Amino acid sequence: MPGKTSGWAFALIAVAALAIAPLWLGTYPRYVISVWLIFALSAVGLNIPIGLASIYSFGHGGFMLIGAYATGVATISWGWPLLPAMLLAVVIAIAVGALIGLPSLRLTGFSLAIVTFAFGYMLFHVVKAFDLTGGPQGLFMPETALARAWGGRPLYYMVLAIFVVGVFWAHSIATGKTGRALRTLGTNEIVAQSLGINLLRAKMLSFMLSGVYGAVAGSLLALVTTYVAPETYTPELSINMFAAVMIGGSGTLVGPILGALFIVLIPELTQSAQNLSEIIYALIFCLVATLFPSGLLGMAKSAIRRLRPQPVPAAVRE
Amino acid sequence: MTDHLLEIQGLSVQFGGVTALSGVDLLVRPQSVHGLIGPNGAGKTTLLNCITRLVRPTAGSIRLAGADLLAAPPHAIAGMGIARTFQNFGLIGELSVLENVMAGMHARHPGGLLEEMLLLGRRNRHERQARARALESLAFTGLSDVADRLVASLPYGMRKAVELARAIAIDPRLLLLDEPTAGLNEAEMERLRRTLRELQRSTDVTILLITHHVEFLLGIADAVTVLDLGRRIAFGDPSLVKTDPQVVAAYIGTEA
Amino acid sequence: MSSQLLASTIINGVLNGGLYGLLGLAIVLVFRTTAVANFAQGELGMFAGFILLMGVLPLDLPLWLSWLITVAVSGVIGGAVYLIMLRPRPNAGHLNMTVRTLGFYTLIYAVSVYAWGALEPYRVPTVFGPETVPVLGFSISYDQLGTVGVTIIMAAAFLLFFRYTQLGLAMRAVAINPEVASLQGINVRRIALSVWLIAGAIGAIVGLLVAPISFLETSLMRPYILKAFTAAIMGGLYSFAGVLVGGVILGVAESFAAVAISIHMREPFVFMVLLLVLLLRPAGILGKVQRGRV
Repeated sequence: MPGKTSGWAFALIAVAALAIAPLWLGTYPRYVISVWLIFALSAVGLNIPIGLASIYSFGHGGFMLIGAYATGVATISWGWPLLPAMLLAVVIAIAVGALIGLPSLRLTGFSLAIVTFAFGYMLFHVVKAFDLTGGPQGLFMPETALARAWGGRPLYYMVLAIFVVGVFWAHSIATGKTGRALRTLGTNEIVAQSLGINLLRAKMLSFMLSGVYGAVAGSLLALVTTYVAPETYTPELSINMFAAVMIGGSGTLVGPILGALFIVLIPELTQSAQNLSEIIYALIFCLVATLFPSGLLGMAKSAIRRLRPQPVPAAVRE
Repeated sequence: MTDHLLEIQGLSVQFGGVTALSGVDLLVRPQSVHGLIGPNGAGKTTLLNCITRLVRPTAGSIRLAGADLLAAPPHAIAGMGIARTFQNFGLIGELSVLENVMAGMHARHPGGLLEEMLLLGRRNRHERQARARALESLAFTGLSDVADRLVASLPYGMRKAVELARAIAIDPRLLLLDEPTAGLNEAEMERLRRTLRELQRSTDVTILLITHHVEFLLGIADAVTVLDLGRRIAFGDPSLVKTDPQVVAAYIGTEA
Repeated sequence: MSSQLLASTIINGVLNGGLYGLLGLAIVLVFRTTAVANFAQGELGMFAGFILLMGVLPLDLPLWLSWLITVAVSGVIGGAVYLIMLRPRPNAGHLNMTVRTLGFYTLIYAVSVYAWGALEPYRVPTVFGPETVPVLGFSISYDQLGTVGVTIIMAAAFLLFFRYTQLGLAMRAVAINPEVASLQGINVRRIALSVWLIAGAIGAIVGLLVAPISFLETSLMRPYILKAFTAAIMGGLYSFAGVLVGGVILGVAESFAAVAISIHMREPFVFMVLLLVLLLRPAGILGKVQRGRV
């Protein structure tokens, strides 16, 4: 956690920069930033089970799929306005999150991880099978007024606003009673129970919360990319989201945001390397995971510590 | 009518075919310090685990001021005013001392998700109250100076003190201490004794403690219950530890 | 359902199920000895298919020898993954180790797509020959027979290896408790290396069995990895026999789902089976609840 005042100042400057930038940025960079913010929002939500409660969720792409498809189906097939459609996505995600959390007490971490993985895998195949969800082709989103007016900037600001609220909530949760409870059960479930923490409720809550973040992110992704395709929401998306949290630095606020930048930006930046871009992305992924177990944030911290010789904080994690 | 805060009767626990406790009775008077002693494997920790509902007894009853504890789920125990420490730390190494104590106040801390998302004013007020109470608890146990240190960076003795601070932060009616003296040096033990005495003087807490340290026990306990191989072999005045030959054999004999 | 259809459904199911079980064995082995969930287990098999096709076949050796060479090379790759990606910073925690296998999964896939294209099918020759034999009124290909045969031989070899060889026993000791095994003088790191060698080899065997039946392409093993994990869980992540039985049950079940309900329901059905098993038998189909190992 950043120091109180400097942390807030940094956040304020970052948000201000993100708010001013699109005034002169072109369509493409705005698009990339939007996608980053969406993935960052998703990763911040995924950090709740992974980083706080040490529950390994490999199905986060499934929640994003729910968000994108619920929004798509509700607006296209049923003609709903955008907001109720997004709300529907959130409600479904909460219900599904609760359902996944339900067996969490009976399962070991490994089994639960595979259940979440299977959940994302199942949804990917289900949406391909039904006409309602557009089958293998997916759904084309109609152009919204948000994207038409003022070169699409309203949509950008909507994404930014939701991102800011989402990150703020995640901070409030992580540093409050809920966050401490999740961290406690992530460290030691027996102790957590003795302290009065209802394990089932807390675990379900962490899935439901991450589901809400994932669904909202998926919903926004559908709007920004104007296309809901099954190929976007493969099990690999879940793996990439998981990687984003771990590569950025799980259990922190900034880590998942950095990690999302990594998974969005590296492929974009290496596009000029054409076919090599995937390999470069994978290589960097391997390098970071192997050499910096605590993620990019941990890497940055240790670099700063080396640059500024100062009394080393008495404790370094483990 | 009961004049005991904690009443345990006929408590039995079996793990598979092994009998960990068999028909144990334990009565603890309000505001007393009750020692629970016995050689390793006597079932002392199992008994604490029954009280905090981590272990399900096969027979017997446990009552706290008349209320049936066995009817409550494990996570409700803290809310009933029972706090405990663990033999092998149950602290979160990556959080600060203060945050650990605040995490321990879960049962007494109002609020939750709704406040954290929508009622930020109330959330922050409750956080401030919890922090203030946690700081009091740290001051009480002499840990004010290390409130912001990460628990992982603290030496052993201090971590034990953090556990104690976390337990007393919820202002418990019944405090269960599992080997609070293990690994402490003389000075730390003396400080612990004074802290517990002070706690007793300033609150109406009742303490049930497991210890292997005879002098510490004699210096603080009002009564003892002696377990051996899952059975209660004696109870009464702490001096039993030195006078009752059966207790001496079971307890001191294995103290090598 | 005609008896013909019934039989072919069962055979298909057993065939695929055996492969899930085999891959599941490798996953359980790695998980038990190093506590890492190896997400790259399937991709090792896909990669082996390309090693055979691109690297070994051009040498014009007998097919069975090419096969063996490929399996050996894949074993070496498995070992290399351990040495390069899992050995450094060993105190990083199991989650980070699992993320590293995810990294390797991404890498091996990216390299394959770069070299051989995405979704481009290649035909891989079979060692078993193209003929079919009539059995009870319908025909079974040599490929299918061979696949089942190899699966059974591998499974038997696996079980014997762990029961009777010194290395196998040492692996079991590490699986039960690494610290105790280490105190007993077992070199835990060397065991981990051997385990990864075996994992690479098993991956290759499965890949080489699958590739001739379907076409070889870069996402060949994608449907297999989840099912292998599921089989592993059905075995309680512990019992090797349980993993194999679990794999076969899963294979037959999904095969029936595809025929009886809809081909589209085949994949989602796996999730149902997994949930059902976990809810009814959390410790696996043959398992007893293990106490003590947290």
